[in-house]
Amino acid sequence: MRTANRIAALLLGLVLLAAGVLMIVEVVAVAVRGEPWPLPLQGLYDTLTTTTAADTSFLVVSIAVGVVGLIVLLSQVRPWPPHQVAVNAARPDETWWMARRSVERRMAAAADRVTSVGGTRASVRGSRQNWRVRVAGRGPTEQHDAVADAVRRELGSLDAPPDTGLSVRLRPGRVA
Amino acid sequence: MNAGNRALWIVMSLLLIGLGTVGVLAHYGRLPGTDPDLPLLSPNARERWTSWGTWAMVATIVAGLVLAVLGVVLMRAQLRRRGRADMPDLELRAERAVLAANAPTWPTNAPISPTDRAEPQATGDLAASQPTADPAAGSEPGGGGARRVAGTLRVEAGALRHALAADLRHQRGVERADVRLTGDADDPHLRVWLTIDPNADLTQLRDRVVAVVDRFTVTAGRPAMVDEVTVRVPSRPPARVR
Repeated sequence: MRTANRIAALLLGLVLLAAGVLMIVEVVAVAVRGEPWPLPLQGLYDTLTTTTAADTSFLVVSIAVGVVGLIVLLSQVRPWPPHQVAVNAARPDETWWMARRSVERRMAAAADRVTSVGGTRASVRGSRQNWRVRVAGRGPTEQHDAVADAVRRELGSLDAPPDTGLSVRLRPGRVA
Repeated sequence: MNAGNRALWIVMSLLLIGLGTVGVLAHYGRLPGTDPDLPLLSPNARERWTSWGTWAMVATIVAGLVLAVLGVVLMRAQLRRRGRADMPDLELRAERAVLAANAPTWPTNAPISPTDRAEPQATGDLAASQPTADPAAGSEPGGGGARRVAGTLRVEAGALRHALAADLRHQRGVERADVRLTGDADDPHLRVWLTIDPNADLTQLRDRVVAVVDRFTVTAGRPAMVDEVTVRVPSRPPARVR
């Protein structure tokens, strides 16, 4: 989402720049040549002077604009998972970050190494400094504590903050 | 940057929702002061614009300029690098006494004062190490013909960065390393990006990184401050041990 936002903002900047330059060029062209250039604006002018708010096309465009706005708003206000999380808590004078996906991969792999457990997925949520791990996979429920221990050991090898939350959920199922 | 972009898109989305709502209300005639049967743009808009003469053009050009400047500002903000500026090249002032008055070379095994811990060979790139005679120095009293020679040793920041990254890459558990040197030449700050082996122990790796930074401090002759270390694991699965 961060990358998407950045690319979208870059595109918006580009559109604003292009629109601004185009406005200036069109006005100068009108002053010099007597007609707009490079875009013939007559078509747009005709459309705007003949379309009314009562037209169906106007309603459709208005609804589309509102829906796009709503989608953008929802995508921005929903909580985002952290891009990276704090590890190596033992050295407060340095900031060590690990990519969230890397942490998830390591936790899932640690759980997968437990006998009879497989298909594990790990997700990291929370903030960059205070994060928690949720591990879900297939395997006998008796292995719950073994999985939790394995993931805790892995968190220890990352020197994750000691209060890092952990939840493990195992569904009974055959592991390939 | 992330928070700024998020705020920008929240504002944009509210603007779009507002426009859409106004459009729907106008369509159904629920917007006070509007008539849904009137065209969006008055048919005599062109005549009115022309009647304003030069002012209309000036206003449009100013609006275009404002838009273009906003666009440039927005793009610059997206493309700007985060954090401090890159560190400039290191310039190590050195001065020593030479016995022979016409000694033209810089003895590589001699201590360089005052930053005698600088080891240009370790950086892999010595940009300039030609000593220059200091005319103001003259012969040392009772020095038996010795004179003081001053010089400037310039070590390119890029060379230091590459050397540091190479040293990090050679550490066990590190697959790729990238480094950014920021801050003043007298007060270097490091940002480090490491791609590590999926099974690497981060606590052990930290000790090795600390050792690398210590070596860098010795090489550069300046204590380096590690601002951030960002670690990632490649997407391939780690070795499965049963």
